[in-house]
Amino acid sequence: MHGRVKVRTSEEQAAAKKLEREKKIKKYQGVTEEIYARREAGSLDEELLKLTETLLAWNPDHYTVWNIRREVIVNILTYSEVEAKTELFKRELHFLEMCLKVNPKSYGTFMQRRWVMSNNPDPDWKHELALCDLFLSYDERNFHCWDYRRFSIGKSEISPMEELEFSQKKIESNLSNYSAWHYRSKLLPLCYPADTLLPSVSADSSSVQEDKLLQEFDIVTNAIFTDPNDQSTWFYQQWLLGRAHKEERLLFFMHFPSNQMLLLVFNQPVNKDLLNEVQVLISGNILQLEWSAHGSPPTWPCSLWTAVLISVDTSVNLECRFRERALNLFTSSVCAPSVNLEEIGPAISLTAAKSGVLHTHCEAICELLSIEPDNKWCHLTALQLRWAIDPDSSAAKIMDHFSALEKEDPHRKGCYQDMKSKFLIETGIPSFLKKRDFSHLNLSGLGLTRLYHTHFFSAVSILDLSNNRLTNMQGLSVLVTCQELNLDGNLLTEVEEDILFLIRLRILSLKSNLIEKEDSLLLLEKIDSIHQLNIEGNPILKERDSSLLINLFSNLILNCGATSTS
Amino acid sequence: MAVSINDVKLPDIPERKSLLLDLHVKSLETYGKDKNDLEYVMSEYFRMNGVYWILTALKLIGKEDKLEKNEVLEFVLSCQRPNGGFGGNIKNDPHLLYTLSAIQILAIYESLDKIDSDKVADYIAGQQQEDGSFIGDKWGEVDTRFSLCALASLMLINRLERVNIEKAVDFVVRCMNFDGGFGCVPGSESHSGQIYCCLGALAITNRLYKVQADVLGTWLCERQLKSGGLNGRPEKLPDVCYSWWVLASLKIIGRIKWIDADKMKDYILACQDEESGGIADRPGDITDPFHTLFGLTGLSLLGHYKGEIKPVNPVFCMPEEILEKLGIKIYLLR
Repeated sequence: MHGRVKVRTSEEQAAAKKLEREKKIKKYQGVTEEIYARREAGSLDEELLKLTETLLAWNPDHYTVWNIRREVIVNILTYSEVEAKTELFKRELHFLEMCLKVNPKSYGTFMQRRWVMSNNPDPDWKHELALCDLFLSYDERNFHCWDYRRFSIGKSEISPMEELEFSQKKIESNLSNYSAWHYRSKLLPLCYPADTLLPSVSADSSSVQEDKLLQEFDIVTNAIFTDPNDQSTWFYQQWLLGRAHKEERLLFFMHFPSNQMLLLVFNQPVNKDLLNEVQVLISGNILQLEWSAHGSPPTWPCSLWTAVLISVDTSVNLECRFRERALNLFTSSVCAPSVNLEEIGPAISLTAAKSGVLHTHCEAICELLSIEPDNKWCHLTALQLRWAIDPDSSAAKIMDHFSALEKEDPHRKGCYQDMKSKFLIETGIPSFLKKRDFSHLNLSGLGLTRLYHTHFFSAVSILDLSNNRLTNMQGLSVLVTCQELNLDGNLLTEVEEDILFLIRLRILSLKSNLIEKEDSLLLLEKIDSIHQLNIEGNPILKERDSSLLINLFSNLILNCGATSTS
Repeated sequence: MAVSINDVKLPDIPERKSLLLDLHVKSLETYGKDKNDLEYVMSEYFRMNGVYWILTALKLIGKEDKLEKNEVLEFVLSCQRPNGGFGGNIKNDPHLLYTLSAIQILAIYESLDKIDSDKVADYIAGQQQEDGSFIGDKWGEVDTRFSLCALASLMLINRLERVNIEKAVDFVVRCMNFDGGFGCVPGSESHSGQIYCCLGALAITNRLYKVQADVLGTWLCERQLKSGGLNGRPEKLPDVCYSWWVLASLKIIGRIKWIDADKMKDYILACQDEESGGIADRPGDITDPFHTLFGLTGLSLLGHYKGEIKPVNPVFCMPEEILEKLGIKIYLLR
């Protein structure tokens, strides 16, 4: 029951209404029962056709009655002459048009129209398109009608190019016609397919020729200037900026002799199939290895893969080959290749043409922003463009946009904080990797609410994530070499299974979090390497006698405030 | 030209409203008792959904005893057709929409042993098409809603392997759009209801990694309007049922913190009927079990009223405790 306002009525009105309602109910039930009865009796005739008409005009979503109506039509067609058949289809289409006028958003009516048109020996698709145009002129966002239009287009000889023009017209008449922008995103890859062999998701803008994609920025800029408060253009721009596929690269190759484990870290989650392309050689001989994903749910693509390697002399030469690259391990147990920065940067590949167009686009938006300094969509647009074009040198401005967004649009603070976390981590990765010193990394006090790209840190020994706003342990499972992890002053409510994948973890500090549940702490018992744990300042200590916890963790140094043990 | 924002207006200083659970229980248990309710009569063909909404709402607040279990079970079983599928009511045809509701009711009552699971699974598997999609019934309507109905039903009766999962997933992924959302069929515009269905289908088949969580999350959190209510698509009015479709979707992709939970609560509470109970789509409208359930589940997902409303599972829209009993564990994004 949608959009029916509750109205107050006097007693008299109520009585009159009740009477009227009773009559309606009686009639409705009478017709329904007769329909069921006639169907049961097998009288699939004109009479039943009329009855269903009465009921469906009233209740166009009654699926069983539509089914019965179709049964009747199928039956009548079996004994009708050609002319009568044509007449029946004509009549049905007319009836459906009447139904649409009463309720233009009925699943049942559109379903019936599809069925009728699919069975109609002489379909007039032009008429169907005209009908869609009419109903889209009443409501340009009616998704039933858009879907039916696409269905009709599929049956007619209308090219995607003509449809692209149609979407252009729709956008020109109303820039915030989200349905039309959506349609454009589907048509562009059909009209101007990119010359690429890369497998792409149908939704991806990288499947569109670049010059056409760049032309779209003009349309978007124009639209933003006409109405800077419209979300359609922002979503469309986000799509244009794209999410290019990065080639899979091997980031790290590690060997942990004491764990009898080999480990590969890729620049992105990969499927197990890809491991077939990996060769590990020991003194020149290829090893037969069984790879398993490390830290992801079963069968998910994963960026970390491990294999068992039993009793190898640590002085031996291990080599890992993947595609054009070979990584060698000698005495050190961690090998990181020289890192190519494009692996980490923005999700788009910037050709000269693209970055030129984006620069111009960005300048225009910033101009607009100077006129509308509080406009959320302008901030978002500028932020996104700067992030894509040159995140390092515009970092300060990007952070200003984040502050403005949190202020202007506080409802979505959570979203902006996560985006900011992603930005901070993403822009920090290149300098961290360039340094080639993985002994420690300090990410404390950055206001991180979510961890992104942590597999780039999988070779770090000491990681400080204290004084952030993390609420869960998502992203931590990839920290395989981490020996000291500081999570003090976050918003963690429990210890999660991610921590079990930190096979070298010795010191874990969880001071001043919100951990309440004891059973989640018990998980830590499963990590053999751990020998120091700090849980001071967590609610669990208020409810529990800390001596019980001390007993639980008798084999390690436990710091829970008042009492410390060793 | 400025866009007029479609929204409703709540009082500037929202009064602190409370959750009127007792009234909601009353409205749920008496729903349909008035034989002169035309709406009720006209919804006769989807009674199975109605029973599921009422039972789930009551179960979530521990008042399931307000329904006569045996009566309900008898009704559900009487709606099963010879081909194994369930209809929306006794004289109605089998359809995936009602088959799911029937199975959910049986699961909540821990009575799944009352049906022949293989027979039901035969029916459901028979609806899968060559391209992996599912038709709702033999008349051939295809929609991602039916993908969720089929997969969720099969999961509940432990027969997921009866369909081609790869193909089912492929079809859902083909419905993905530029905004990260999903539509009814490939090519259709994103809609919060369909997004929920597609995410549910991907969650059940353990394929949530295929979702572009940040892109989709951004779109979903933009559904929240100034009033605190959520709409289903850009420029549309808020409606309490989206406190389910949108919030469950955000929960599935681990981004529920991307909306303002307090404003959402204010909106849902403002949609309560303070005289006769129940929750409506918008403040001041007539209430019904559908919106009452989705108002309560929305509050549950956000962690409001923890002592009064039990945790709800964002994929199945059933109490978590039921899924735990069935041993169903679904990986969600975090």
